[in-house]
Amino acid sequence: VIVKSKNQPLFPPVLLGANAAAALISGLLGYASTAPSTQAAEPPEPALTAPKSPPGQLALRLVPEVLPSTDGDELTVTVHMENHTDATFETATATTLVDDRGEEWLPEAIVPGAELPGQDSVEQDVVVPAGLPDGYFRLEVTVGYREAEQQHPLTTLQNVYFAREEEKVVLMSAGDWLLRSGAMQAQDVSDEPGSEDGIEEDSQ
Amino acid sequence: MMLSRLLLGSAGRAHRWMQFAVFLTVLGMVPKVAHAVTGAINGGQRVMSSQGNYCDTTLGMDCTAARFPANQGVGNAVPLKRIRVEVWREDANGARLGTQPIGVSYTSLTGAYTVTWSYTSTPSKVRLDFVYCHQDDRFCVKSETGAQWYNTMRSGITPVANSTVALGYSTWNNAAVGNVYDAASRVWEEAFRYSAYLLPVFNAVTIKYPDSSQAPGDAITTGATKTILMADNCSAMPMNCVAHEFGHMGMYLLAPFTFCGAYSANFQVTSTENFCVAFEEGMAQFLAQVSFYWLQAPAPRYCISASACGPAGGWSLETSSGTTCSASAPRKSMITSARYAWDAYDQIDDGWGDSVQQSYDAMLAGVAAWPTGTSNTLAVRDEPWNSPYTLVDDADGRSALDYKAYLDNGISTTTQYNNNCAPGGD
Repeated sequence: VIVKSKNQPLFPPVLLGANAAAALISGLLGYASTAPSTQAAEPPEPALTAPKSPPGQLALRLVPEVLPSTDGDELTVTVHMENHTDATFETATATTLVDDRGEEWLPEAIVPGAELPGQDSVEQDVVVPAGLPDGYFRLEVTVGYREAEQQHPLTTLQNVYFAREEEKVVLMSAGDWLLRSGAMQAQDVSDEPGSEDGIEEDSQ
Repeated sequence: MMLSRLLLGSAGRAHRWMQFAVFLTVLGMVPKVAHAVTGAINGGQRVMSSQGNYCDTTLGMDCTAARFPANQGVGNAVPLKRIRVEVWREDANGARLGTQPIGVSYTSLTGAYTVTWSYTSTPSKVRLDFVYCHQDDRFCVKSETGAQWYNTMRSGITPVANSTVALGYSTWNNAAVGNVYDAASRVWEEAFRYSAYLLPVFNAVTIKYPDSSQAPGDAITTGATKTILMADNCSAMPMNCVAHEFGHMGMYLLAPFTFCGAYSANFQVTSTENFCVAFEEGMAQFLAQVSFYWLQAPAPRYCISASACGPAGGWSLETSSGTTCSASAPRKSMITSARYAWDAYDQIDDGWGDSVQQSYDAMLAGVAAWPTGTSNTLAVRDEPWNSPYTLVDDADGRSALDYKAYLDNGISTTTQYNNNCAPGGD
C-alpha cells in the first residue's frame, strides 16, 4: 500500500506490524507535511429524521478509483478528511490490506501526517498496486487525529472492499463482500482446549 | 377415592393399549418406536475484538468502575456471549444438509457452549453455525436485506453417538459482524438487563449491518420497526454506534413517541439544537454510557473514535458546566442533557451538592412514566407536535425539564439540573 498526499510528492511509507496503528499514530504525528485544501463540504440540509448517532469531529470519506495498468488494475483511493471543529488537528494515516480470511497482504503503512485546520479538509491518495492474486480484499484506512495539547489521538476508520478477478479490480459494498467472500466461513485461528477464562459476572 | 380412580384410569388405559397392540399384531402392523441417536458437542467461541472505546489505564485514564477495560478491546479475544449455536449436518463440501438444525443451544457469558444433537442416525459430519441472535431474542444482527447473519465457526466435525465431542475454545479473527454482536451484548449485559422497565419491552430488535444507506460512522434507529441501520465501520466504534442507538431504541420502547427530528445542519455533540434533539441524543448517550461506566466512575468519557478515548479525548459526562452555560457545552446541546442525566445517576459528588444518586432503573422509570399527548402546557412525550401530528409546533417542548418532572419521584434532581446549564425547554 502506498500512501501519498494529493498534489504532493509521495510520502515514504513507514511499515509496521498489525494492530500498531493507535500506538504508532500517537508517536508519529507530524506537522504540515500535507497541504490542506481550502475546500469545504456542503453541510447537509436539516430534515426530519429518526434518532441517529452524532458525527465525529473528523469526517473520513474514501473515494476509490480503479485504474488500468500494464500489470492489471491498480486501485487508487482518495482519503478525504474534514475537520468539523474549530480546532486544528494533527493527523496521521495508517493503511492495512487484508483478505477475507483476515490475512495481511501488505504490511501496515503509516504516514505521519498532515496538519488540518479547523473547518477545513485535506486529501491523500492511497494506492494498492497491481499484482495481487485473485480473491477478496479489504483496505482499511485509519486516521488518527488530535489537538496539539492532547496526548492521545482519537481515530476513525473506513474500509474499501474489492475483489480481484483475473487482474481486474471489482469494487464491492461491505454487505456484498461479506456475502460473497469467505469472510463468514469457518476460519478458526486458535484452539485452546479447556480454556475457561471468562468474564466475571457482576451486579450493579 | 382419588388414588383408586387414578389407578383405575391408568389400568384402563393400559388395557386399551394392549387391545390396540393385539389388533395391530393381528393385522401384521407391529408398532415400531423410532430411536433417535443423540450426542453432544461442547467448546467455547471468541472473536478478536476490533472495538475502540475501552478504558485504558496505560494512557492515563481513570478506569474506576469502567465496564469495558482495555483487555477486552481491540486486539483481544472476547467471548461471544449468549449467542445461538446450531448443529447442522454437513455434506462433503461443507454445505448444510437438511432444512433444520439437529441441535440448538446458546453460549454462556464466557462463550462456552454444550449443544446436544439428535438425529435418526449418527451423521458423518456436522458443523456449528453461530447465529447472531441473542438468547432471549433481545436482538439479532442481520444483513441490509434482512437476511440473518451467521458464522460457520466450526466445520468438518465428526460427531460421536452417546458421547460429547470437546472442541475447546477457538477465536474468530475476522469477524465484523461478530464485533457488532459483541457490542450489542455488552450493552445488554452491562446495562439494559438491570432494568425492570427494559426487560419486558426490549426484545426482537434488529440491527442491519452493514447498511449502505449510512455514511461511515453513522447509525439510525427506527423505533416503530425496532430496526437500527448501521454503517460498516460501526464494528469499531461501539460507544457511538451500537450503544448509542440502543439508547435511542430503549427510549422509544419504554415510551413510544414521535421524534421531532430536525437536526441542525452541523449537528455535533456540542452543537446547539432544539431541545427535542438535544434531550433525545443526550439521554440515548446516557443509557449507552452506563454499559461502559457504572455509577462509581469519576471519569466516564464518551468519544466518537475507533480507539480509546484517552484521558482528554471526547467529552467527560462528569464535567458539569455549572449554572452558567459555556460555548463548549451549550444549553441546548446533547452533551448537556447527557451530563444532567449522568449527575442524577452517578455516585460521585462534584462538589456543588451533588449528593443525589438515582438508580439506573429509576432513570428509566422516569422515561416510562412520561404520559402520551401533544399538549403544549403539560409535560407529555409528544409535546413538540400539533395534535394531528402534521407539524412540529414546539420543537423545544420535549426536553430534560419534562423528563425531570417524572424522574423526580420523591428525589429532587434540581441541583443536578441547574448545575448542568438547566438543559430544559418549556
